[in-house]
Amino acid sequence: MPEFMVLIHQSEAAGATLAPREMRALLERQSAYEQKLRALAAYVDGERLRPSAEGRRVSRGEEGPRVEAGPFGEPNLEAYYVLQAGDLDAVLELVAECPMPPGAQVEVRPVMKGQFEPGKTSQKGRVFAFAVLGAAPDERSWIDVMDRIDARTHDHFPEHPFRGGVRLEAPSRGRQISSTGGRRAIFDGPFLESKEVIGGLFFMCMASLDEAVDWANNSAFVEHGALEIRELWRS
Amino acid sequence: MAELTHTIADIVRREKSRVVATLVRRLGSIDAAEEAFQEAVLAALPNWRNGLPANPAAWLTTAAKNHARDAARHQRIVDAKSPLLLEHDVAQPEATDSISDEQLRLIFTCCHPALTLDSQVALTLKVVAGLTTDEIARAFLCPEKTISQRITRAKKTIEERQLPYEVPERLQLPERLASVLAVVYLVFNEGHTTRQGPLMRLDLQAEALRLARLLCDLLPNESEVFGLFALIALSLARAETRTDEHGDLLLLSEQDRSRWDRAMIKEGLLALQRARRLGGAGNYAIQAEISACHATAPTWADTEWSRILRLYDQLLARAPSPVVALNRAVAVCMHSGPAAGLEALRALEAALASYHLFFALRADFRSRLGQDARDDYQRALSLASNESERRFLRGKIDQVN
Repeated sequence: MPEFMVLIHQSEAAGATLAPREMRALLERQSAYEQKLRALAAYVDGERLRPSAEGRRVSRGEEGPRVEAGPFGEPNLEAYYVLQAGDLDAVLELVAECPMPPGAQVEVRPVMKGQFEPGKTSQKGRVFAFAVLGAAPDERSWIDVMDRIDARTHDHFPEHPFRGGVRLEAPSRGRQISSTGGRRAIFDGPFLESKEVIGGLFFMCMASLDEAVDWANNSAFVEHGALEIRELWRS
Repeated sequence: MAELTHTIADIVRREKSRVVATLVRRLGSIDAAEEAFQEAVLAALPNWRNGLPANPAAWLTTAAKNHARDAARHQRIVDAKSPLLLEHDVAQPEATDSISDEQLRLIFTCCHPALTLDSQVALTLKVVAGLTTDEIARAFLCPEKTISQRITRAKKTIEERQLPYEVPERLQLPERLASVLAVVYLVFNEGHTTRQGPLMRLDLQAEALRLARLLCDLLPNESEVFGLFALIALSLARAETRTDEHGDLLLLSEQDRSRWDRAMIKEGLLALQRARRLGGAGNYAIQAEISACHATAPTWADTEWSRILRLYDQLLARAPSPVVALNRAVAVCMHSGPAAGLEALRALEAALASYHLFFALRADFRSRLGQDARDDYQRALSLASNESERRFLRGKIDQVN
């Protein structure tokens, strides 16, 4: 059955203005939603990412690798779930109940290939998510960029620290849900020229953020695109 | 140059426990590993002047191993001493052993119950947290000599009793883990209220948080590890507001809640969720639940007192303690009024006759009921040793007079 990745982007600035009691209520609603998803046969994987301020973005600048510290502009990827479903509509139905704080956006994208290793945070060591990003003027050339990265990298992962990963279909094959003032709107996955678009996500167990950045620096990902590195939250 | 030395000092501190952990197994003792690490740091200073290596930890590990090999050749380290730490399988470390396995072994050795609690704390701060003896001495307000003696004695005990360098078997794990968590909790508590000097020492609390976070990485399926992390994070989030601008104690009811660290509260709440998911009813998890009620309450009055009361009852049912019962009395007072609070205190006087907070609390309840509280405040003052708390009590005595 096809797999879909639900990417939850949240405004960290809006989150920081929540009163602690509201924050607790939101976390509890999110946790209840997650428990519900986990209980479904359709549930494949899901993780929460530590704040973007603790993350790094590695790309190729004019004079070699460029490493930027987060935050990277709003909204930021905060969590993801992976669900099996017959079609996109079935996933959208499940996503409708997902608690969305102000400024949040949810993206649903079909998984093109690859696989997940659930329970990544139940093992020893720190696990980092690497989001593969590509910028291009239109979706066709973005797909070309992702194809190039894919061709160069698809068997270049060191075996031991690798904890699974996937490539996603282009945004036009997915949907985006925004919430404004309590109302939700679903869009066909728009391709925004101004934004770096996620083409895939993979995971590695690394001793430290520095080690993850070192690895990224020497990888082929940053020759054509960029990698955003974020530690997984044990929660 | 000064800046570079500073950067190197940062790296050394950050990487020390990982590098030492890797070396201990290879070299057979904590002493040998620390010595080799020090040599590697000395080698790093001139070498790194022209640029830091891509992976400083790996650089230091290799340099330390090289040094140890040379040293062994001169019969200084390995041959001269019998191995301090015995392994079941001495031959070669298994290929699957990662740095985190080594670190975990080191923590369990440093917190072995055969060592005194003071020694466990000193050794853990030195070897696992990477503090210097001088820093530990300053944090605990005792002479450096005392700390270095403690550490030497601990290492000697490890040698004489041949304490194994290993993670305990499943069966022993809960008990041994309790001893590791007790050490981290003690570090945190020592930072939270000290007997002398300033009311809190944030650096010790930050060390405790760092140690607890490391344990979360190493033991991701142990509920109490996350309970302890949550407890520390939720208390630390409120630490800044525990004192006023003169360093004087502020009660929870008087604190400026808008200054609490929301990111830290969130971190604590998320860890608490994981603790719950993993089973979650241990001592630390329950204390973290209580702390979470305080950390998320908009005001002192608008706090979930009934929930806090239930949590204290759970805590007391697990492990009766007069100090916990004293805290419960505060919740009783807030939930059912000061008369009920006084009633809850009645049974505790015998057990807490030398505890200043008992009398401070009874004085507070009595003055809320319009009763004479002077004697109780005086008793509290005569028993308190922290200067900030003493100033607070003197202020109260002036008020009731």
